[in-house]
Amino acid sequence: MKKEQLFDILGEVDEKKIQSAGETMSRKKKTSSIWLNYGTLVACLCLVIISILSFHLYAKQYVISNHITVHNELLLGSDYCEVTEEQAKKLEKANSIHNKLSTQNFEWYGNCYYDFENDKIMLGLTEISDSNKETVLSYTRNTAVEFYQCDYSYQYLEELYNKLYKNRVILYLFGADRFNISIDKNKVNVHLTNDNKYIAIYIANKMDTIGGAITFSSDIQPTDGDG
Amino acid sequence: MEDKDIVNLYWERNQKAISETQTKYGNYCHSIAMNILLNNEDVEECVNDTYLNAWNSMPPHRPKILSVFLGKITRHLSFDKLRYKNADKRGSGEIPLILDELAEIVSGNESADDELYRKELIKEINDFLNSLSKEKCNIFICRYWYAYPVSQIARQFGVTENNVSVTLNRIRNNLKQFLTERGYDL
Repeated sequence: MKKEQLFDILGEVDEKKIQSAGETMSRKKKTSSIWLNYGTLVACLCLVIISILSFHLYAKQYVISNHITVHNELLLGSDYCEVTEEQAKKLEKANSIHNKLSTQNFEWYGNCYYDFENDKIMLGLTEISDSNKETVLSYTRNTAVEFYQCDYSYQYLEELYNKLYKNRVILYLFGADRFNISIDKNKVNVHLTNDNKYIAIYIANKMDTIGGAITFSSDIQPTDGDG
Repeated sequence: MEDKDIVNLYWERNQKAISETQTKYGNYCHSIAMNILLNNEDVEECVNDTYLNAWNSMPPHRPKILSVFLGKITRHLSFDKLRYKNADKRGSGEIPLILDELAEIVSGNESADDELYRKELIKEINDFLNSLSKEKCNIFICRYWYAYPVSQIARQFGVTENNVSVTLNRIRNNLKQFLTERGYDL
């Protein structure tokens, strides 16, 4: 067969296929979509950037109006000092009591820590009642503890910590690089890469449903007029 | 106007059939002829001949897809005209390239123009096209029926020219193998 004959025979193929191919060629060209995609991408990026900037300003206003301050961790850090054997034992005892009580999920249990300054094992309860004290004393055995009223239960602080942990990627992206439960302060501490991380402060604070349970710190000296 | 209404005009021998055909499918026929002939004067002549052929074909024909019916006439007339014009030389445009591509499938020897053989061969080619994906089938027909350039096919399908060339090459090889397995020695 000659090639011209084949070309001629191909003219007789199924009409629906010919129609389909013809319709495809007459449709709006796909190439424009490449530029449309780039344009759309740039527009989306601009939108994201503008949204973040707007959120940043909003978050800053939130921080200022709620008087949230960022503490300088370097200044807050306790000075190194010698720990006596007696103090070490009490510290260990306080930690042991805390470990036992924190696993019991008592709604009123706050914290247990060794107060170096006053040489006391402090035990915080959100509700200081005789029955709660009695329950606690069964765990402390003969260890002398001083009860005090604390603001937040350890259970709540753990829940708050878990919320922050679930959102750690977003928090990290916006400048909150680590967080921990501060047992002696009865708070959750969120560390920021610098004190201008308003969005991170806003997000973290919103997870604190009671309010006031988070302290913010950074290694940078706070700037005047901010916070 | 709907295709069936246009066809009815032909059957009623109403000359409005031609003007309606021109309005609806004039550009379509023009683009098919242009892909083959590349010359406005020849294209106009072929398109006008298409209308005449359609007038002479209906009745007895009552095509289901009028666009393709007209397209086939235009394609056939255009190719005949091109062969007549380029009888002693290669010619320009897509057709020489397309014919060179199709030459890979055939032997180049004269074969009998048997109507039954032709019908059977068309059926086999249709079966082969049914085995292709819709996109590949469309690419094949855009190239070998509509005679679109590879670059235009690539742009329309949103792929590279190399992609289209490789696809067509594979389809040609597969078509040749398909027909050979079925006893067709082209």
